[in-house]
Amino acid sequence: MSNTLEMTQPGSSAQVTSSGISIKGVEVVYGVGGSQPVTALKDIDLDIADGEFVSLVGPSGCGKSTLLKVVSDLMGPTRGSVTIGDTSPSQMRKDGRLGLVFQQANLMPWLTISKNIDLLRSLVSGRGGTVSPNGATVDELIDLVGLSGFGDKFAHQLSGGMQQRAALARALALDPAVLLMDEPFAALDEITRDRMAFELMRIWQRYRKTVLFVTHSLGEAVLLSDRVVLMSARPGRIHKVFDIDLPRPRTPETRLDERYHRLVMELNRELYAVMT
Amino acid sequence: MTTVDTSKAEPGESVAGSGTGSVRAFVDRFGSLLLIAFLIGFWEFAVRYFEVPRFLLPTPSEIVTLMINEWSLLRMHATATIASIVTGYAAAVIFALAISALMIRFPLAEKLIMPIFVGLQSVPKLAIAPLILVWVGAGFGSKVLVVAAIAFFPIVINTMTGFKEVDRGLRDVFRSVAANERQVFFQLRLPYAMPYIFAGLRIATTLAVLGAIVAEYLAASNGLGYLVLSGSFNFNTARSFAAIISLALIGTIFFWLMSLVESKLSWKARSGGDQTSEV
Repeated sequence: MSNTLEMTQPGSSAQVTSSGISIKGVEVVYGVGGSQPVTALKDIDLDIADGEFVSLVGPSGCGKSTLLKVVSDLMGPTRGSVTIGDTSPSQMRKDGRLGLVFQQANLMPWLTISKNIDLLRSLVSGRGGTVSPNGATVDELIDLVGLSGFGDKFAHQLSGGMQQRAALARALALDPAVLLMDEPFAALDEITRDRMAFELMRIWQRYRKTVLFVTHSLGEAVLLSDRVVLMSARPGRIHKVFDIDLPRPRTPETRLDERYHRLVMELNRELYAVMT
Repeated sequence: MTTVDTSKAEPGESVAGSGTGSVRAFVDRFGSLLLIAFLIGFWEFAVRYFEVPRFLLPTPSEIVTLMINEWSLLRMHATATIASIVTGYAAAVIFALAISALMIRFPLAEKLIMPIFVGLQSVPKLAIAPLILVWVGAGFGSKVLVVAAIAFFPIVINTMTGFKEVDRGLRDVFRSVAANERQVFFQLRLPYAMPYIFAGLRIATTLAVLGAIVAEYLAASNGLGYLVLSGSFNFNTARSFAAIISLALIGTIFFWLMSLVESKLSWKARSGGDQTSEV
């Protein structure tokens, strides 16, 4: 997949770069050479366009988190390949262009929020790498994620939702080519989670990063995504890809849209189908 | 204000106003001091009233008088003890941190050495003290060595625990930008392990004092341990008590100093701040 830059966002202030993701024939087998190897992922083919928001959903054990780990080069595939832009995930990781957000905020408890947000950038430049000049300043990022006034606080002084905002700012600080999010709101309560989803929408609307988003909430997936990828378990395969043609920007009103409900219902039905 | 009167109220929440509440607050704050004062008073009274022979048990006032009169003697011996504690402790800290860093850097070294340390941890180090004296000979060197040997183990074991328990999620954050080993050590493992390291350092202060006393019991011509021993040999019990009190003070100050350093360098001490519940 070529790295065609489509700056679809009019009036976007920041000069941002993003890249598509191409997953080809990825297979992950745990315990290769052992007596009982387990195939976690099989025949995964998926192309994600530049600036597209794609969610992975599926029953537990379908390997959606494993797939995200492969794309983020935290784990190598047994077979197959992943391309981000025109290079490999491992090169992207070395270049400091992978924005990862985990289920836990994973903030360093001994650093202030500002220092946490700046951490990855300083690590990249500290080991002689080049930091993208397009990244926002720490203060801008703090404002962007709605943490103004909390820069000098420590993680334990923040609520779970605020910590996750800081984690998102830390990932954005790198001006990443892609945002890879592994159930980032799963540890939050329902109300906070909902607010965070709209916050993410607002930020994504502005930066148009390519996002690969793992979630177990079908509603969240439909609300956020351009496409939702439903996976089936044992072995993890792509069962069906849903195009989400809801208009953007998505707002709380989107939830009232009849099409939203139809899509969630449809996904739900398919999910039950793959689970039986 | 308070709608529910639970018995397990937060320590910070004072039950203001009511009479029983203020008495309780007073006891909470000064109760133990009052009890100590009472016990010392009782000691003074009991020794005088029952005419206990002074070589068995001197009164607190006699001990205080002796401490004032023999201040220069106490100071001389205290200096010798403090010197060996500080030197031995410093050696233990440096050696323990260096070897921990080495074991984290080279997993093979950890595999070889760590089981030995864990095994030695269960050996009562004080039991080895006489051997150290045989090998090194009586004097400052052997005292330092006994102190270092006993203070070393809790530091190395706690430090290694901290280094190895680094949260997987935090490590993934560092991996996500391909941080190098030096960065992982200095910016992740070391700060993460700080509370563990200081827990070891605090235990080691107490043990270092103990090590110095034992070394001085065994073979020394100076130090507070020597003073305790010689005092009891000469039935100068008040002098022994004076030396013991000095040792207690040294140990407490040492421990307190280490806690002070911890509050400056470590991050667990910063917790307990205001909790915000807003999104």
